[in-house]
Amino acid sequence: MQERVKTIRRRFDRDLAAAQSGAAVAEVRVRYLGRKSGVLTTLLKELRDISPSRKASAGKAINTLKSHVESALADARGKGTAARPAPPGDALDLSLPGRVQLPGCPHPISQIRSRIEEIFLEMGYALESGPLVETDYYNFEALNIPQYHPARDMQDTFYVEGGLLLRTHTSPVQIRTMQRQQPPVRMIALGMAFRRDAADLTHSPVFHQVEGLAVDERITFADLRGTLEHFCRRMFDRDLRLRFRPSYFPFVEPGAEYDISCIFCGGDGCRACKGSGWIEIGGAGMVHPAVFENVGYDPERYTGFAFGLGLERIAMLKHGIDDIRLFYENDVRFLSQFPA
Amino acid sequence: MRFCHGWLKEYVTITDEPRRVGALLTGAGVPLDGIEGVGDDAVYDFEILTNRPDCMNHVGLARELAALTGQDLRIPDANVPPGGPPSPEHADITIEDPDLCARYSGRCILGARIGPSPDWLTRRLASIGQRPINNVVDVTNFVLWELGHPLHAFDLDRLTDRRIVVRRARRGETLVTLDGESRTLTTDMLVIADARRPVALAGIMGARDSEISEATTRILLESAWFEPISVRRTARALGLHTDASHRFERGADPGLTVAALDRAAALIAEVAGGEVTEPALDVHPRPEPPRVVPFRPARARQLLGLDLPADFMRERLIRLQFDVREPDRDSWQVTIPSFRRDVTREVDLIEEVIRQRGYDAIGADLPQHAGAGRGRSDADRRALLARQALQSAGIHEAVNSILIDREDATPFAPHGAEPRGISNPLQSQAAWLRMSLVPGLLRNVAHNLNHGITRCHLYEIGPVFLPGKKEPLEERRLAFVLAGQGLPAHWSLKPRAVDLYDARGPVELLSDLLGTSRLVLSSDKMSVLAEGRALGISHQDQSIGWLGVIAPDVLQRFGIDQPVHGGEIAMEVLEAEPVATRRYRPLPRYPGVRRDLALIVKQDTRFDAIERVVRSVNTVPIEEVQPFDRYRGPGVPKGCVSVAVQILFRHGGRTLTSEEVQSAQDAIVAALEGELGARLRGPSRD
Repeated sequence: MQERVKTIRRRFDRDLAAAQSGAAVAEVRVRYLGRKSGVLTTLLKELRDISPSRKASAGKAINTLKSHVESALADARGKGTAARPAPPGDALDLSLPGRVQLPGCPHPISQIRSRIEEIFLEMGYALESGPLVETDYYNFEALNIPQYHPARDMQDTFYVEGGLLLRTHTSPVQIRTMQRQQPPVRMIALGMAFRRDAADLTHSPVFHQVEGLAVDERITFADLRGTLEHFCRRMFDRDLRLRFRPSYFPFVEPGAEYDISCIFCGGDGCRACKGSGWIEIGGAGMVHPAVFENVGYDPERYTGFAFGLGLERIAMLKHGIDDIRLFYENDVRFLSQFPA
Repeated sequence: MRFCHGWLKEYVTITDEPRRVGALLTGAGVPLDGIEGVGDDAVYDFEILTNRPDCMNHVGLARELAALTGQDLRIPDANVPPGGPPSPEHADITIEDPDLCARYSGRCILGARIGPSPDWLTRRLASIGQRPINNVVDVTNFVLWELGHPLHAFDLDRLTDRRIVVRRARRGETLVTLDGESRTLTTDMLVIADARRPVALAGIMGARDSEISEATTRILLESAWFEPISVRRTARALGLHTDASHRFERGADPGLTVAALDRAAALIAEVAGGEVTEPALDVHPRPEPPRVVPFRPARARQLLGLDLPADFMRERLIRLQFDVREPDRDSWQVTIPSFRRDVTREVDLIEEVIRQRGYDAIGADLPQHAGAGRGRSDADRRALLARQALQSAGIHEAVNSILIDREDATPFAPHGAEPRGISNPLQSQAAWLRMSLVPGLLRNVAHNLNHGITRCHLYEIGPVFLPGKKEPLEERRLAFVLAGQGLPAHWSLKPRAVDLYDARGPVELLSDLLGTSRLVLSSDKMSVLAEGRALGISHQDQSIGWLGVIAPDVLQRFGIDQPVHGGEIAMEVLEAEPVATRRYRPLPRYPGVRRDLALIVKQDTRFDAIERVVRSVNTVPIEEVQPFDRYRGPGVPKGCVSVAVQILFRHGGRTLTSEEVQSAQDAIVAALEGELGARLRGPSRD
């Protein structure tokens, strides 16, 4: 009996604590003290059947419980709704931190990824993906980087047993997408890529890339510039400028690298941009006709642009992170700095 | 690659400051990495892109600069002293393999004196960080950095029969290269041989025993063109990378062999004395016809989205030494100079003109609308919900590499499966493809605990790699690990360690959020999980994952000495289910009746069994069965546990009477007694 009383008391305390309004408190009162089927009423009725030897102690326990229930209910009614001032002597320390179920934090790379996805989804792009373990064909050959091409030096590759490799960029997804569908194409692909580079402050053998591709009749380099300008401005929430410099990637021609005006100094020159006023973001260009030929698109009829950039770099710029390895240690003190 | 400002000025008039020159070339596709020094002594560090071997020398860079500034390019004259002895009497050149060597030119210098170079030559070389060796080698080096063509000087007297034979190596042939290494050659490697043996690796490095020494007086100078792929394969196979191979791999200029040869021969005669033989021997079995590429100005404008005038395009192409013919105003014929092997198609010429104009002349536009986008896929939306579920359970997202240690991978591999390996890993801890996300997360837990973090709750969503036929099977998984404190520290909360229900909760929430047919959790046995602390997760009778307490012997390997709870789920099945639309259930119109039962049951009686028995009594509709207390201790017999259950009865069409509820309750109690041996904790049974 004693145990049962304890259980009911625990249960009552919980119910009362959960009752936030006068009506809810009243409901708790009925549940426990209701004349017909209140929990305590029933308990007292059961007392009749109990053996005399135990009656006294049981009765005492029930009565103690009853007075606890009654006084707690009276207190609850006394407090009533929030409008009534708290009685003196029961002052709350209003400076203590509040209580909330703290949500976990998405990884900073995921946050950058979601943001990029949003920006391009708004522009009508599709999200595509492809395998991380790739064939030489998709990672190199189809992208106009034949065997023994010196450009392969720029992308030191991890080879996987069985004549496969870890993709060195997200560009194979371009090929897979174009093989699957006819123009017009508007796609981005985000995901992991791998280079056989030793890790240091700014290099990691594992990193994340986004690849973009638009193919249609009459796509121009100006479309590429406009698209990246729009993207970069939204990504960094600034009215920044873009600069394109000629560069070489075998799957685009003309090929370019693009910079944004420094987000720290606005282009005047500071430490972050090494005084140049510009910050390197990624590579881009017009899809090479050989790539179109490889996927069976007519390079006379269709033109297109492609671009790429590293997610870690964007996250490092946005949050001022100076060591790329932090992204893969998953230190809770790091992760919890980016609640959203 | 280093270039000297004063040296560049030999070939083109430069009026700009070095910084301005650097910016100009950067804008045209020769990015500047840095400048040291000032004025004529300024040394540039340019990054020469891999498709522009023609710019890997001062004349080539001057050519770019001349085109950009409109200045004339001054190519140095060779001025070979006339009247030398006849070349064919001193050397003989044969190409046996014209596929791999399209051209081989040579001359001899007789009576040269090997010694230190004059000042002007060592200064030039020193300006770009090249160490002087002797006057002959320095000249070949100088011409490499001036004109860009790699040359090689042989000691003619060490060539058997004074013969040069360009051929593939014979099986088992060896060669000691200039660096002193003995190299065993294979039959696909091209060598320069004399009548007897190899004397150089074609386009890569010479042999030690035919090199120029202080005793050398007669020299054979080589200026050849080797097939890029062959040079690259051989250099890679032997682990060699030289200034010569760097250029031949990227494509040297076959049209330059004789000019470079003559320039070097004349300079050797100037700095080392001797007579240059006449004429240049020039074996050219495979001359390439000049490449002609059609160019349509309108196509250039269309591709770039920029209205470039035809005059501008013509003039700049000509300045870059392209030959432009216009049989038709709209369709030009452009002949490509032999040093521009990178230009093969119309788009390459389009890049040439826009490089000259500057990419930033192009304005900003947006592609035409291409129809409504597809938006996120169902699978993607469900993955986002999964993230939400775990994050709202207070778990942080982790991202780990897919490359792990073999020993880490093994305990979590499906039965008997071997992970796929990386053939050329950087380190053994990252040499295998993961077959589970959990090992990576356990490494993260160890890192966090070692850094004094008291609550480490992490999840990850990503691919694992299971055995497949050719490619490994990429399967998307979700995994989580919980270690340390169960709750975040707060002044009002009593700290407690993570328990199994912290691990179960997120999976239940996931099931609710995804709205799929519920995930079923049932007791299981797994080698990675502690006995009696393992749950299998299934979906429509298909096993898709597990959760529980990671076995201590597994944790030991990760250096973790405190309990870790965790779980892993294959996402594919969940992602494949259509996104469920939630149906509205009308709110109840009649009050429900709650009854609490405090039961004493055997301690291995599970709540799901109690719930099943309760619900089996269906005289009155039961809306909810909730456990609200579980207690062991004084008052509860040994081997038993007290479980308190609240039952909510509700009828959809009327108010229930207390009599019918009471009789249902009695029936439930009777059923629990009968089926589970449960008894009510009440005064009558005390």
